[in-house]
Amino acid sequence: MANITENTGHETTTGLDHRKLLIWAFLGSECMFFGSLIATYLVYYGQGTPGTPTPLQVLDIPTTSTSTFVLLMSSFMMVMSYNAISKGNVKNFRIWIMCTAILGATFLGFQFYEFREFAVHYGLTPRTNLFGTTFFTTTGFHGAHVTVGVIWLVSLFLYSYRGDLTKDHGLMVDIAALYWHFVDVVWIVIFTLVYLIPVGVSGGT
Amino acid sequence: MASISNVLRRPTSTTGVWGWITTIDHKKIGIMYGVSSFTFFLIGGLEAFLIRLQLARPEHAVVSPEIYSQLFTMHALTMIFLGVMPLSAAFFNLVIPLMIGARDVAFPRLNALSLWIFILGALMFQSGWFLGGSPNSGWFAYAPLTSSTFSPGNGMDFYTLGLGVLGVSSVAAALNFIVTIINMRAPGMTLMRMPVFVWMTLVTSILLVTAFPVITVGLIELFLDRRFGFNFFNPDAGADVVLWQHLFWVFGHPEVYILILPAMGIVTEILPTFSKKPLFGYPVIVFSGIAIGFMGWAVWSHHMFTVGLGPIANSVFALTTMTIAVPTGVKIFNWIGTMWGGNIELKTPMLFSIGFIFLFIIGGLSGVMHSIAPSDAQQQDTYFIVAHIHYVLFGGSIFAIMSGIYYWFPKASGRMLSESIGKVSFWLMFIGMNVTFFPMHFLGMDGMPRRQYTYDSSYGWDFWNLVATIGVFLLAAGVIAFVHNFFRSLRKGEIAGNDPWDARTLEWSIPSPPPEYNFAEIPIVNSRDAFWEQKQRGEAGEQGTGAGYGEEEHHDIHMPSPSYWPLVMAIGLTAAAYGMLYSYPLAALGAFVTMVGIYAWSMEPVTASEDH
Amino acid sequence: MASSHEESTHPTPAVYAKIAVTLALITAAEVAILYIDSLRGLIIPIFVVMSTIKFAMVAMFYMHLKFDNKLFTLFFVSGLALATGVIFALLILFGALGEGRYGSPEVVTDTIAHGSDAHSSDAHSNDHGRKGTSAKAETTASHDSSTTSDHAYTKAAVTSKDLSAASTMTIEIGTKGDQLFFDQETMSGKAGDHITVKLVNSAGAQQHNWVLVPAGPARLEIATAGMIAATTGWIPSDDRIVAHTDLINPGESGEVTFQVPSEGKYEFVCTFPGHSFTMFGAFEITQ
Repeated sequence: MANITENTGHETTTGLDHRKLLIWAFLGSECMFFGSLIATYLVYYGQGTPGTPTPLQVLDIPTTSTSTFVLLMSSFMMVMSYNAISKGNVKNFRIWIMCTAILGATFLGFQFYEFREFAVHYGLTPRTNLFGTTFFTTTGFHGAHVTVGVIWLVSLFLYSYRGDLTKDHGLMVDIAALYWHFVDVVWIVIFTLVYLIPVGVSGGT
Repeated sequence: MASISNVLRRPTSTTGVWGWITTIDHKKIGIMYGVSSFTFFLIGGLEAFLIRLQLARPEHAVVSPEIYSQLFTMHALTMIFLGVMPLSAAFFNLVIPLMIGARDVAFPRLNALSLWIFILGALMFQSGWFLGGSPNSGWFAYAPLTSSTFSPGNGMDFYTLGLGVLGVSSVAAALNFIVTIINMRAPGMTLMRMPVFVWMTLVTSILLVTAFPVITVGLIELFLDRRFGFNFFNPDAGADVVLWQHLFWVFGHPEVYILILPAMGIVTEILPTFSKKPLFGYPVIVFSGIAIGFMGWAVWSHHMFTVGLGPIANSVFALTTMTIAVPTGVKIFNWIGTMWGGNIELKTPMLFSIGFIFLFIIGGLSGVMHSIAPSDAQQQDTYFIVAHIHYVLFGGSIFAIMSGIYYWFPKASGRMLSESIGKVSFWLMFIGMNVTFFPMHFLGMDGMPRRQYTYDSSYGWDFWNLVATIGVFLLAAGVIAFVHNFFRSLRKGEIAGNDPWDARTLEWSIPSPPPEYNFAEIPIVNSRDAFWEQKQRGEAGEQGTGAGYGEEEHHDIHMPSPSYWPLVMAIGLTAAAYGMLYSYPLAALGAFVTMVGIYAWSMEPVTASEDH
Repeated sequence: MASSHEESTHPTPAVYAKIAVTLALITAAEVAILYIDSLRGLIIPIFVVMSTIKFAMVAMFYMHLKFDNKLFTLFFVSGLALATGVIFALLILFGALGEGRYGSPEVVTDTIAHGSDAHSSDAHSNDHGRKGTSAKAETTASHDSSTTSDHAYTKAAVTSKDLSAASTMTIEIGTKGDQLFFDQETMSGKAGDHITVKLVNSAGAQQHNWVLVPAGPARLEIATAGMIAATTGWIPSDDRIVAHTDLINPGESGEVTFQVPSEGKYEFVCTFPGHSFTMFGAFEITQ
């Protein structure tokens, strides 16, 4: 993930690094991506084929809150690893970033378990009804983002053994961290809109 | 991992075929964007030509109805996504770094990646013609016509995957230009000193990065429906097919401004140059451009007045649509104000720019008519809409782009395009354009539906259809004259020199074609139109003459080195897209190649070290 | 290039840890709230506020927006605001705001019974058009305020009519294949009788419904209002509607049982957008 940027050597107009501007503009764009997915989910919420599984029947709040907790804590680990590398402490950086990646992988494990449970136990697949279609697509694309993030973090971990990670004051880690936190806040929104509110308003606990 | 980047030896050649393929120089990339997208523009023109031949006479059968549906769909998609958008991108690449006094864009390799994804994605998109059919349900692809039930075969998959791949290219390029414009301006070039074309590029890029994700989601949903039996647009499962229309037009309307704002920017550069006057009302024209970009988000449902959204929604979108005409009108008055009292030189670029204003006003006026929902209910899906869209997209965008080509060709090539052939080509295109598209207003008012394969003589549409088809021959002659001019001038054109038009912006202060590093010394900007003021004060030439600026003296300017990896990534991505259609192992291989590309790219230093 | 990184302005690990604890606590509180019945009515605002706090804490501290250049905030917040705007616009256009609507009518009833406050307040604040008409329906149809909602139209047709009669006559009506016509131009029923109308949708692709309305301008008025009622099967909430079937999918059929009015002129119509121009007929009342 080194040198995605290509500065030609002179100072920038705003004094900001190209790569940080790029990642923030990219995250703004990603907001629209997830916004459209969530809009589709909400527009179709409650529209469906009678007799097929509904959100209230299949959503498992205790399990998903645990995986939400895991993802939130991974964000904490991430910020700690950035904190370590910006102080030049590569050893701590490696520990924290591996913890982050492991928690991310744990979250994916939860999601795999959830998907499998829905399919096997309730017979809910993307083809079953509109809820299945929108639920699997929205959470699935979030999961795909987490997967990319985990690969990115592991790559940074391995890259740290080349020894030149601290040269740019941890900017490479900073950028990966911004992506990771973004994936985290997207999950906060999905957890609220897809899990909590539907179950809450219907008293489905 | 370090060894990945050593698998392929770093390319060193900056000339020859490999020099072009591995280049990350924004000027070469801009030229490749221009040449490839103009080729696609010609293909789109050929498709239009066949459509007009089919409609020349009642009950004609030049092509089969099935091919006809593919032709009108692909004509629109080709012109919009492979013609006008990348032609604008060609100007962004060629001109923006020069205008803001930078040596390259912020991410040169990302720029090369955008180019190669565009070229390979566009080829993939067009390959449907040879692989069992192209998309055939109109460029907006309304559900459920696009479902696997009603559109069997691979045609619509080329739509979803092709546009998806092209979207990656557009968003990557747009992100690149946002960062470039914000972060790479020469010292002293504040935002309000930027040339208007730079401003319009910024607004367009912001629209691109925000609008494309919406259609990407729509395309993903459609793809999943078609290939994996999801239910997004399946009415049997209770889905509402109008959702597709919303997703499409939420993207589709900002897309309209993505097509026209760069054109407006080009014209705004050219008018002051050939009027020998500063631009009239710079801040107003900038803010109206921003306002158009912003308001462009609140008007999409005017494409859906006849869907049945209800009187409240229709009224709201009618009002926002009428409001957006205001900043557009403001710009027109600014352009006229710029020319007013000026010392106007009617060179070819200026002719095209004035043609743009004239034609865009006609298209704009019929556009305002559509904003009135009850009136639109009569015009919806008739040739009146076809007339409107061609006045704003052909008379608007394409005329501005032609104007830009005539204007900046000398900068890119070092030679002038022929003025005499240029004027012939302008008048052929201008007259041909009006003869082709103006009768469509009459046909539309007379009730002729769009996308209709043929018609009966008793409807009384014969005459104007024939006229429109005759116009296309004039139009084609104009385009051929331009292509001839292009190739002729590359070899025999008059040598341009630094500043053939006595222009105002920084790109004219350096040699034509510019050296690889653009500016031997980064210019210091003290005002709007800095180069113009320099010339007025008689200080010009210190940067520009080119004398004494040999390679030797500028050995210390480190430019990024060429790279294979953008191309490798683009190949991987395109292969993955084909794989989604034909074989998942191929998709996995494509994804793998893309991954290798990313890692190798990351490990490769920006500038090759000296021992290479 | 490192000028943007002033580590000194960034928070300390202790601050990061406090935020992590807060995030965990808020998540735990969210789950706990699900089990508190008395908060049921306020659950949407509560969850929106809590998740916004979590979102803002991660963005401001972990993503350093609070300390970094404001340009980054501008980029991110613009994307966020635009996305939120598009989501809300689509929800309004699809009439999907604030309704507990899931699938079959039973579930709808269930939802209303549990969370009526949040629902009706939301629905009413967001959809003035419906607010007016459903309020009218309330007075004529039902006095039970806890079950009054947008779905009052359902009760106008079914609940409010006296369904005590045990046996009813069934009249069947179909469609002319895929053409936009009913297969009968007139139907009839005896005043005061309870009858069942069964709509057999023999179309291959079109959805249809059968709606009984007063003769005259009411038919087109109701059909026009129905064009924005996608969420209720294109049936607007209008207390002039005497009875209606659900929206019937192609190849399926559906029934409605109602009491024939004692007098007046009536017509039946399909309110699916665009169908009302051809799909209608007269309903005669015999004495």
